[in-house]
Amino acid sequence: MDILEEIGKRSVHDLIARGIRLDNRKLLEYRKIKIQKNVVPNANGSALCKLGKTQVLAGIKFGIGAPYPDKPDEGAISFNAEFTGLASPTFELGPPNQDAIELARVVDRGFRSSGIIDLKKFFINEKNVLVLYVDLHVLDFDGNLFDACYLATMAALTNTKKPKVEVDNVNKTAKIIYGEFDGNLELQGIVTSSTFAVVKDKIMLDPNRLEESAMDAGIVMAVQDDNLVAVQKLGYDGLTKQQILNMVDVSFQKHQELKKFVQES
Amino acid sequence: MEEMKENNSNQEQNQPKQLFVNGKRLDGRSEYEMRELKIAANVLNSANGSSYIHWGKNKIVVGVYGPKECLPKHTSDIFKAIIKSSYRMAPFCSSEGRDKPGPNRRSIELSKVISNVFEGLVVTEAFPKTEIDIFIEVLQSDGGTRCASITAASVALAHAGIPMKDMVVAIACGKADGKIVLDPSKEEDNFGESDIPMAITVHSKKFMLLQLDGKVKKEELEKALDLALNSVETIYNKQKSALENLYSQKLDQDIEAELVMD
Repeated sequence: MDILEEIGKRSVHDLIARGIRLDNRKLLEYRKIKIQKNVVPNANGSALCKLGKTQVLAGIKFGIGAPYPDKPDEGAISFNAEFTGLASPTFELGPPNQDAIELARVVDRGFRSSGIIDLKKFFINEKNVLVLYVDLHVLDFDGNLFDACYLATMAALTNTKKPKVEVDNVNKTAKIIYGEFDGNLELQGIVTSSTFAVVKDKIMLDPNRLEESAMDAGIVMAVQDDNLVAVQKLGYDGLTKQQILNMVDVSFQKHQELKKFVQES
Repeated sequence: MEEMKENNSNQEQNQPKQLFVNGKRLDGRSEYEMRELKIAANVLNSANGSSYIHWGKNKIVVGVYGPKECLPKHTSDIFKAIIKSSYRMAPFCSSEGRDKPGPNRRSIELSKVISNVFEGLVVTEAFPKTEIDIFIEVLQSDGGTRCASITAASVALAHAGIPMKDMVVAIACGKADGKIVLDPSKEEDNFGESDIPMAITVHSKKFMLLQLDGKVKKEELEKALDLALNSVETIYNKQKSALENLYSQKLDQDIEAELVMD
C-alpha cells in the first residue's frame, strides 16, 4: 500500500468538501494544455500533448494490410497505448495491461464513431488497403490519460502526411515508399474528450493522479460538434442520470475550448 | 489492425438495407420492447454461487467463487476484497466462424468494466485481503452479452450469499435507422448507428456502467437513459424470481432442459 497516496486521497476528500482542489483549480477547469506538433518527423504524423504534468506522445505510421471481408472497399485504423516504464513508478514493462487496453479502445471508439477519417480513401486495390496506426506513448503520468490521448491523437492527425504507395496492379501488390509523401491526410472535423471525476458528489474536470485515485466515480465523454461519439464510465460508484446529463453539457462547452488548442498549436 | 479483426472479422453477413420494416424491428419487436429473458440460479455444483441467463439468443453461465485468499498476494488490499471478473466468449458462440479461444482486447476491457460494477456494489470492506472471482462464460452470443453477463452475475453473487449494497441490472439501448431502440439485437448492434450499454442499481437508480459507441445527440442519450431506467423493474423481477425459485420446488423446467450441464 502506498501511504503517501492514502494521505493524498484524504486531502482530496477533505478539500473537496469545501469545494477546493489540491492545485487550487476551479472544479471545471483544465490544467495548462500545451500541444507540440511534428515532434517525430520520421513518423507520418506526431504530437506531444502536455496536460499539466501528464505527457503523452502520439505517433502515426501507415502500413499496408488486406481489407476486411465485410468492408472490402475500406482501409483501417488501429490504436495502441503504451504505458512506458518512465511515466510512473507503478507502471511495469510488458504487454499492455487492462488499463492500457481500455485507454486505447476508448480513444479508438471516439475517432472511429466520429468518421472524421474517411477510410474509403485508404483503398488501394482489392487485396491492399492502407492501415493507419496510432501509437500512444504515455511518457509522464499525472492523471487524465484519456483527454491527453484524445488531444495528442487529434493534433497528430492534423499534421499527418499520407504515404506514397507503389502499386502493381498486375500482381495486386502494393508497397509504401518511405520518405516520400502524397499530400496531407484529410479530416472531417475535430474530436475532443472531457474526463470528469466525481468525489463526494462534486464534479471535477480533468482529474490529476491523486484526484483520480480518490474519485468515487468518473466518466470520459468524447465529442464532435453536437454529437457524443464515445462515453466510458470509470470508477466503482454509480452516477445519477442528472450528473451524467450535466457532464454532457460541460463536455460540449469544453469541446469549443479544446478545439482551439488543436487548431492553434 | 488486431483491434479491427476482433471486432469485425466474422461479420461476413450482408448488411440489411433497413432495420425497421413497417414500423417494426427485424425480429418483429417495437422500439421499446425487450427480447425474452429467463434467468436461473444454482446451475453449477462446484461454484459458491451460479446463474444462467437466456436473453434473446444469448446464453451465458456465471460462476462465483470466494471470498477466498487473494493471490498473488501483492494484488490484495488490506482494507477490502478485490473483485476479479473474467468475461470470456466460447470459440463457438457466434453465428459466424470460430473465434480464437482465450482473452482478446475486447474481453479484457469488458472484464475490467464488469469488475468495476461489482467493486462498487459488493460490501468489499467486509472481507479484507480476499478476492471474489466472477467467471462469465458466453456460450452463445446474440448482441448485448455484457449486459446479460452483469444481470446474471448479480444473481450469482446473491446466490453465493455475498453481501451487496444493491442489486444491479443491465440493458443496452441502440440507434437503428435514426431511432433509439431498447435492447438491440445482434443486427441492430452490428449495423445500427450506436450502442449504449448501461448497468443500473435497482433501488438507488445509479448508473454503474455506461458506455457509448457511435454518434448520439444529448437528447438521444437522455432517451436511452430513460428507457433503461424504465426497464429496471422488469429485469429485477426476473432476477428475484430466479432466487426465489431456489427456495420453492418450482424449478424452471425450460431452463434446466436448455442448459446442457450436470
